[in-house]
Amino acid sequence: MIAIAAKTWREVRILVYAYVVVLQAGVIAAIAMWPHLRTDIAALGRLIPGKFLQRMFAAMADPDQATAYNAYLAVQLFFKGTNIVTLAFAVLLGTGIVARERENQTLEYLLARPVSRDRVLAAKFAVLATATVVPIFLTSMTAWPLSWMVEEHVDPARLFQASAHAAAFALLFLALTTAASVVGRTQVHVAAAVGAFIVVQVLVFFVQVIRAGSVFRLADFDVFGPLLMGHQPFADVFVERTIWLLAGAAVLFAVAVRTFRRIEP
Amino acid sequence: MTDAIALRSVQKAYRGRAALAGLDLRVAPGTIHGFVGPNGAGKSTALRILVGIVQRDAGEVRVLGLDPAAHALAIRRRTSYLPGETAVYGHLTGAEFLRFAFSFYPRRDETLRAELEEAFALPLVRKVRTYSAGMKQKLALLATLVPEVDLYVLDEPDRALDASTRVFLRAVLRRLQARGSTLLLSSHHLAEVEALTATTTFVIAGRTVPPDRVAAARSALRRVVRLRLRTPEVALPAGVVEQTREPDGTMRVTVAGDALAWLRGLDGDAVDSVEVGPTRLEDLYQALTDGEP
Repeated sequence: MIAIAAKTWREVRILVYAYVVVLQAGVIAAIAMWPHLRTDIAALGRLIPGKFLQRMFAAMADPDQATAYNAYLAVQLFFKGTNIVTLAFAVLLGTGIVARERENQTLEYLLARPVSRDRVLAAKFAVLATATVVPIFLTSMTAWPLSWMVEEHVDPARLFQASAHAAAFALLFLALTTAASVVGRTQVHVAAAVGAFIVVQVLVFFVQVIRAGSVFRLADFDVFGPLLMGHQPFADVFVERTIWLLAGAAVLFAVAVRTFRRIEP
Repeated sequence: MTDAIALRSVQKAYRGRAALAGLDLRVAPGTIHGFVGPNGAGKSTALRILVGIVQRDAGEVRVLGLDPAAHALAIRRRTSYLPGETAVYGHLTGAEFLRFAFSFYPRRDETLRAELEEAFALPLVRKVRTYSAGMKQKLALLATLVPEVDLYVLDEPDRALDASTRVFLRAVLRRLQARGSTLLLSSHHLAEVEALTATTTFVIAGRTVPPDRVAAARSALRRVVRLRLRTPEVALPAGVVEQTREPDGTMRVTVAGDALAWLRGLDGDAVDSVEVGPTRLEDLYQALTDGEP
């Protein structure tokens, strides 16, 4: 199992380093931009259509500077960071977990090793989950010291809690992509299927009347904003949202394991 | 003594198309057994069923006394399998791939490993993706043959290997047999298989060809002579039933009686090379499939 995990890590490590760099660059850029944006953000918010976006901008233009800054971080680091960079990375990693082995004709070799299929998939998934989740915490937590540069403050505990929720959201998509990768013939097929699902979910999210049906409601500003601004305790967010993300990830991984037991190379 | 491998009436279909249609196979322990057949005959499917990565639809299978459908892991712990497609990880170096491959087996023949590494002379520090097809096959062989197990299931081990490496491989496989292991060897090279194996199973269209039919086909092919002549105008002795020229310039002659007696009537100076009998697997397949539905 350790050998499979080590092999998987060697496969993805360059991508992981790139992912960390992109996330960290995003955090630094977002914080460095804040002094330039904070004076104009209220005017900018008045031009934005849609109640959800207006609510977001209103929070970022709050007269209380600490509230405004934390709302800004919720948007930049988590709402945008999680839903774009983290999600893209989770999908990118997940597509290859089985489909790449099939495409490279190594699946037969791997399945013929004296290791159970459950352990094979668990070892691979554990590496990819760690590679997806750990950078979220590592880079997000740097916002705490970096905020001093712009003379702002963010609560490290809340930052950690928001990271935990973002990690659960990324895990959900990693598990979804893993399940698709088990049955997909090629990585491109898997990416197309998961990509289509994401596009539909994004479209649903931006249509006011059906937004509640989008999975992105579980990781939008209404989750991260109140958490970072201290308006909602993490326990409430965990019970109402995070636990469902984790449950969804667990169910999808279980589906992937069950399917993987039956596949033939 | 219990067979190392026993398959009876094994069937397997993919999307309604039969890959195995009642395959029988018995391999005695401690032997090298040949498993030959044309492409698409179902050899690889049968080997995958043996190591438990493909499930049969019907029939009985016992490998080392166990049913792979229920005890695949126990079988794989005692089996080393070389898949038909060369399976190596391009992103690893040769040394990393070997470390990965060996990590699954507690017992390894380190002497054999040293010999194989020296004979194959692979650049183990280089990424596998930079290897040629032959180098990849050598690496896969190294990874498969070094673990000390009871059964080696080898799907075309001689693929992409040059003649001298094939001869070396033959000696290595004999050593594994001498150690007490059983080897099941699938190959397209009839000469390689027959040089190594005491018993061979022919499979065509997912079925085992009965031994008496193989014997009859071999007997018929003993009347076939392949000649490479120095000059095309040479007069052939009497007794030629059929004569064809093949794309490589060889003349294929079927004679009425004993081929060796017929050859005595041929002018020796006019002949470059001679082959008698079923030296080519294609001929044997042709003879075996004549009259197949």
